[in-house]
Amino acid sequence: MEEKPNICQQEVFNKVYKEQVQSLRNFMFFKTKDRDASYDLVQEAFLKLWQNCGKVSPNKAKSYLFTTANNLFLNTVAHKKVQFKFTQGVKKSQDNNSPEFLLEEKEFGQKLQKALDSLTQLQRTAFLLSRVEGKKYREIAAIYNISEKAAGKRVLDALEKLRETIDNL
Amino acid sequence: METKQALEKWLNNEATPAEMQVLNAWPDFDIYKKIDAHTKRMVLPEHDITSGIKALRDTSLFNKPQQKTPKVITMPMLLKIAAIFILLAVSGVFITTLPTNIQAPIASTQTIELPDSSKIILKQNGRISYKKYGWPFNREVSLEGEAYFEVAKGETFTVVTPTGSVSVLGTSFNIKTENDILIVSCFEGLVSVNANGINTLVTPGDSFSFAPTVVNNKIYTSKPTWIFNESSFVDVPLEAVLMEIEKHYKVTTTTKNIDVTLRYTGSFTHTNLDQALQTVTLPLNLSFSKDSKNEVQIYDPKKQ
Repeated sequence: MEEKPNICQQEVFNKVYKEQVQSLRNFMFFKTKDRDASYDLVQEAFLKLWQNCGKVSPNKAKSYLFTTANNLFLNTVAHKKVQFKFTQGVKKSQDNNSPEFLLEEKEFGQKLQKALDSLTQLQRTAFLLSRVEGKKYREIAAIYNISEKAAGKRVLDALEKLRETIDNL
Repeated sequence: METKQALEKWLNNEATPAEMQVLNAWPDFDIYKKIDAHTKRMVLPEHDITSGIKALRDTSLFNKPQQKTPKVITMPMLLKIAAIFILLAVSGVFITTLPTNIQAPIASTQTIELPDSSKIILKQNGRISYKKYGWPFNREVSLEGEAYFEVAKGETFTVVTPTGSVSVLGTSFNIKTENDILIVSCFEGLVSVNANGINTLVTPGDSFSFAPTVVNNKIYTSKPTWIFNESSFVDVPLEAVLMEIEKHYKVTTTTKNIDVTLRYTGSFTHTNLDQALQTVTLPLNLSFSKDSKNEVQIYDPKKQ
């Protein structure tokens, strides 16, 4: 009985931390647009997991972490206005380094930043989970506890909204 | 609409080559691809795992759950043990109340040995039911029909019949039930019969019939005669004897010029019809004739 993996065991907890922390951090980053705030939320979520280690089995840890982090995020929004500090990093394009192209790239990056900011938090997070994290609709649906179809629509709506905003800038 | 569907699939990395063809031919697709490519270049905060775990360990709250853990593990264990005990208790109660039913064949008697080596000889067509696994706690047998009991000494042994119940401590006795009639004959020991609200003690050599008035007859054998394939009678009307013959040999009897209330004392065998008829008719100075295969006529030769 004692040999069964349990999150209360330090090694098991560390393993879960290693496996899940980066994707959880990205998730929180997409939501908060803030490096530091996302770090705090992730750490707090893991602390909660540790405190409830007896109630959460290792295979349920991932969904527990995402749900907890999401709830923690909603709590912080309630009393703190989120600042827009979305860091944009553009790698140099390999094929063309002409000044015109670089300028255009920079302009487009700024437009995209603004467009992303115009999305709702849910739309933005779903879109970034899909594009940056490469998550399937099925996985996004599991995080939000919605249908796969609704997840797909959320990502598509976000893309169309981004395009519309960029066109009007 | 078609492009929108293809676009949604493309976003999930599931677009087919045919759908890619549709998308590539669509002028708007360029801007979508550009948004996608640009978004993917986003710089993400890199989470340092080692320092992250260390930071968690330094929190004062981090050491709490370790004291709780043994509790969390032992609780279900305790519940399991409790569940096993409850299951055993419930199944024990169930098994001890499980009845065992035995019915004797139409044409022969059946001997039944009870768990305490008490013996029951069940007459043709008789039926008993008792709780085999609850026997040490409850010596109780339900009876329909006729049976002879030899009871081992021990706690009260009870036979329940539709008319009344018979309790003994250790003895041998015979019980016959037919319609509402209950006949209890005692061969050894002492038998207590509770029928119609009256308690009667039956001593060896007594045979009581309870229906609806109590009648006491004497018996002169040490065991009921049906065990030896005989029927015996003490001062019984001829009519009743003939009914018994009809029952055992599956024949119909008729009488001519005789008094059916003549009293008969004696016994007849169950194995030979001619012998049985002779043992009944001869002492009463009667004769018999077998008309066809299943019809017997009893008559008085002097009045012919």
